[in-house]
Amino acid sequence: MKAFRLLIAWNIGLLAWVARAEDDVYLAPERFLEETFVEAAGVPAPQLVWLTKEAREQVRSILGHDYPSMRIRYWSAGARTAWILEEVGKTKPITMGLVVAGGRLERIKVLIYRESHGWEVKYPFFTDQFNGIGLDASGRLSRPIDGISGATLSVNALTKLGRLALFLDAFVRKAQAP
Amino acid sequence: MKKNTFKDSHGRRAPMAWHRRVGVAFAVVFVAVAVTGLALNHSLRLGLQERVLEADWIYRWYGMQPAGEPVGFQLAGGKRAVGLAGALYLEERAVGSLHELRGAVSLGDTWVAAGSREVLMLSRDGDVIERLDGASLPPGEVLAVGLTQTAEGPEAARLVLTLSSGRYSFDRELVGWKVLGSKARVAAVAPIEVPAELRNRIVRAYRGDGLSVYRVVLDVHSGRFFGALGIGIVDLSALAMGFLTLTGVYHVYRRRR
Repeated sequence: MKAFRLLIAWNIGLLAWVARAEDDVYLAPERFLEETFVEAAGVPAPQLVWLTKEAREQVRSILGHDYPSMRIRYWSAGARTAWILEEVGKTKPITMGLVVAGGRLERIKVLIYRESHGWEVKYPFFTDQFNGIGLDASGRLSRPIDGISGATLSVNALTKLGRLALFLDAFVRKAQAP
Repeated sequence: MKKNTFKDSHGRRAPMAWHRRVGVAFAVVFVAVAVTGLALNHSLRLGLQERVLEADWIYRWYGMQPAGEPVGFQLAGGKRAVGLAGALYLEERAVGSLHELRGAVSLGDTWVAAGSREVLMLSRDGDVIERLDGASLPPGEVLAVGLTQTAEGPEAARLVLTLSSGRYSFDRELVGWKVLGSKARVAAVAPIEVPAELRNRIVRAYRGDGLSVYRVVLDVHSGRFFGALGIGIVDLSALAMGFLTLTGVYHVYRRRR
């Protein structure tokens, strides 16, 4: 009976541990923007990019599904654009802040993490891999990203968002070109 | 006289004593697994896949019953925006997640729904145009929703959000916002009573295809119906069945000697 009670206690503890998973706000989105544009005179006014039919097809090929909205907000100053994007890791969306400059990722930051596993992706040892990365001719990242054991789905989500931000940056630059 | 180490205080051999104890301890589990196993083996004949459960309690148990009461707002064209269980519905169509619907208004060809922390801009058909969160909204929690009242008429009305930090009006595209003075006239958006038939349609939509009897029986059989604890108990019962087999064979062997 003692062993049985221990088993029940273990199971209850396991349930409690599983239930404790909640949203982790590592950096508020508005704070991310302030940090990104600290050298400018404040955060620039947001701009909107409407996803055309062709753009939606490209986005679908990157994410594997449609983007959940018809337009995306971004912030731009000079040659830099900042994006706040979301992608589901395993079951819940991961909110990312991404900065693109000159067609290359300048900075990526995990803003809000809602999964119960894979939180290692928030650390610089992983996110710094994206610094300076661009897209190759086939639309893939120009360098491979080393994954993290046990966080594969989150790694994939961040990789997709990196590609997405680079595509969107190029898309808006092309639309604005004279 | 050497103590007989194969018998307990009642004169029974230790393995057989444990055989009885384990058998009694897992009797209910064994019966449940056996009965559900038989049902699963004959699920096609019994039509378990086609039988869909309707009782609310089973959906609550599975977390498939929307909690709370619906909050509704009238939109143009006779349609209604309803918030229930962290989701936003246009009539019974789920259009996205939205925590604590505070208000919804029609704005020309679009409509806007505001939750406590987010704002959704949607097309008339319910397609999400954009989701606005902390980076795109004034600071604070959304408390109420309204429309500006101007001499230019309803076409010129703009969205007004009352947040914990103040009252703000937005431009047509919800890109820019400004603080609204206390003298500005605002028509507050009031909730409507959600009819029972609409609530029922939303609940059915929330449940999707529903729960089949087969699904529930399978979950009882595997222990998943009772969560991680149930899985553990069923796993233990599998080990217990192996133990009972061994002790039963041992008993036969000892009797023959």
